[in-house]
Amino acid sequence: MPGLRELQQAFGSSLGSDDASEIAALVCANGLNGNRRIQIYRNNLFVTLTDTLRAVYPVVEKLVGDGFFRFAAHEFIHHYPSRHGNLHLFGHEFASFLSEFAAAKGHAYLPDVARLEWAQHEVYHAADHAYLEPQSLTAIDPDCYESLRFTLHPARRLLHSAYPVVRIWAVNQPDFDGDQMVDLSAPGDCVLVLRINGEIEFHTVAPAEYRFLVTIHEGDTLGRAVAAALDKDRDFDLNHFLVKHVQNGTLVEFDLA
Amino acid sequence: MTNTKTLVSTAVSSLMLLGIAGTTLPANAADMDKCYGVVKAGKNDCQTANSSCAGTSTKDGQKDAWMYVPKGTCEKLVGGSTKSGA
Repeated sequence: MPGLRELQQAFGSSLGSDDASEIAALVCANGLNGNRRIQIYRNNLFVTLTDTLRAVYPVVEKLVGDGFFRFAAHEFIHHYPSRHGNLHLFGHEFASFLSEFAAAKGHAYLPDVARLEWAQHEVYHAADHAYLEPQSLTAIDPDCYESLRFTLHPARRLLHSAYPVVRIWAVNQPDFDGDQMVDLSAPGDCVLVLRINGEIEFHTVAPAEYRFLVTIHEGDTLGRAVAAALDKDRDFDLNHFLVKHVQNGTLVEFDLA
Repeated sequence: MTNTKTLVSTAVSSLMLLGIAGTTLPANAADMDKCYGVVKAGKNDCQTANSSCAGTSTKDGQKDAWMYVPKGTCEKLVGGSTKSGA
């Protein structure tokens, strides 16, 4: 008789293979043989995880259809088994899986759609945070303003796609009532995903504004973020965008580099 | 070449003025070019679908699934390249 650890490991690996004979021999039959009991468990596992992916990636599912989605989900679950007790953390590698998935090669925008949906999922479950109180900046010496480093709200994500990913997402919403055609040669999107009052919003932002936020998010100073934005657009209006992103709760904390 | 220091100084100063005016919250609607909003339904229920109960589909039916091709609304995405790395 194996120890508990060996037993759990053998059980775990039997779920990812077709051969459960090793573990099945240890299962009490009680009217249904061990192999069959393991099969039922495995089937339930795949159905549950497939439904979880379906809940997180409804637009990917709509784009590829039910049959292909179940096939992709099945392959994904095999290669990226759940590693957490929390089901909300399962599935974050789905975008990178899709970018490598041979059967989806002709649909290069799919990974970006998945990234957008994962960002939506994460932002929905992210922690809340108080907005920045501008008065707290009076404590900073004006000579040090360039060295300010801001922190993004936990319920914010930034992503960029070479495709019009927000329109792809929008026309595939259940209540969308319009022309579903999407021109993939349209400009790509820089997206800020926000949660405001419990509602998820996708804001498409200009490349310079995006560069500004990404640089801040990477931990760089305000001075460097401005320089990066000006690099993209010489007319970048810092005044406007700094106020905008404090007001919409994207920049919530600061310190000095 | 724009003077970054001046830009930053002006911007942080206007930020603090906002605080004094007490207009920081809620967000100024005019500044928010909202694109799409959606209330995402909670997905906490990890219930098992009825169809997966004992005895159904205990065989792995995905063996020849490589024949699947996407057959959803992706047909409505046209123009531009849809190939990776193209």
